[in-house]
Amino acid sequence: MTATKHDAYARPPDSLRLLFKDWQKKSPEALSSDIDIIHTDSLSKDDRVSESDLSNDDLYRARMACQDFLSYGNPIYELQPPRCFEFKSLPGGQHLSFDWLS
Amino acid sequence: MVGLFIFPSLFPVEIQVALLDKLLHRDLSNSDHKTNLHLHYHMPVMSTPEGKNMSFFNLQQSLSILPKDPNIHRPISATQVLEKKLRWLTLGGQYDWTEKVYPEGAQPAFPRDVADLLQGFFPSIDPQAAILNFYSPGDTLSLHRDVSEECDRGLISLSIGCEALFLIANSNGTESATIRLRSGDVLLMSGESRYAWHAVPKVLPGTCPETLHSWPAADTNTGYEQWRDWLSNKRINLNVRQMRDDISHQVADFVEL
Repeated sequence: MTATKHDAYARPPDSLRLLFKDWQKKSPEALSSDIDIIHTDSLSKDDRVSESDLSNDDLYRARMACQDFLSYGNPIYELQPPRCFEFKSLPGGQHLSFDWLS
Repeated sequence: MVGLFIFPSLFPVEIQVALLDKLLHRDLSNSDHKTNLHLHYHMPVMSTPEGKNMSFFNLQQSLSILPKDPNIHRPISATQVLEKKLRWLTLGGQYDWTEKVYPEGAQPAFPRDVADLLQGFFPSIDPQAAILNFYSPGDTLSLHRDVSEECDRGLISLSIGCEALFLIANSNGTESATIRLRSGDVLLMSGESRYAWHAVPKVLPGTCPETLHSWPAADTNTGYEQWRDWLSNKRINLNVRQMRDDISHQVADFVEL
């Protein structure tokens, strides 16, 4: 799978740079009530994302990876089953081109 | 497929602490892994009596780190490094920020235990390179796209510590989303979102979970008491990528701390 070619030196659109500055200037108080922000602790109530199912194999593999990483093999009782949310519409980039030729 | 996935609180606190221990005590002091400071400073490499690299958090806070060119930079202390000056660390493939490419040839090994952990969750991605970003409130990350990799595999982004706003948008800026990322959240940029514009416009002070506040100090004596509460006002972001599809890369064997 070769990569889609992108210009590493491209500049972001002006509209995005303004948006960045807007977010940068907002106070914590303003942020706490801003409805445009997607909060990762309430995704199940956000209609901009949809929940994807994770298979039992995914969950088992994730649990084993965590246990191995901690190296002592004890079950992680607090590991809640992972949940996965996907954006319905994207911030999408350019269409992927798997047959890009140089 | 849109391809932008959020896994809220994917990594429990124990995993976050273990990652911090490995990345910041072990991997940060491995001189093969360059930071934003290595170009301009003689970064110390000190060993324990057992011959292991000493964690930066074991250095004397007043230790003076000398510049390579004293006409341009002044000495800085270990405190200044860890409080503010340290902004990024590269693991595995040592990204060249000037040329915006990954160098050819053998690269430092990517830490095996971190690679295995991530592949347990994302088996289709081979962790070959990572950038570990260090943020304090007031720090930002400008809009950019990660386009230097030579394959289209997804990019994994993990947050630890303080919360932050993450802005992501399409190529012409007509659609965007702003996500408030919390400690333990993982973002996967794949598919159409792999090359999206993204940025961190804000890190939110006072939002580090209490369970992580005291890192690297702990209730038991860890020898890091002088740095108690270092993480309380920090955000650490690990973003991991696969550089190429067809390389036989080295993965470092797990090294006990």
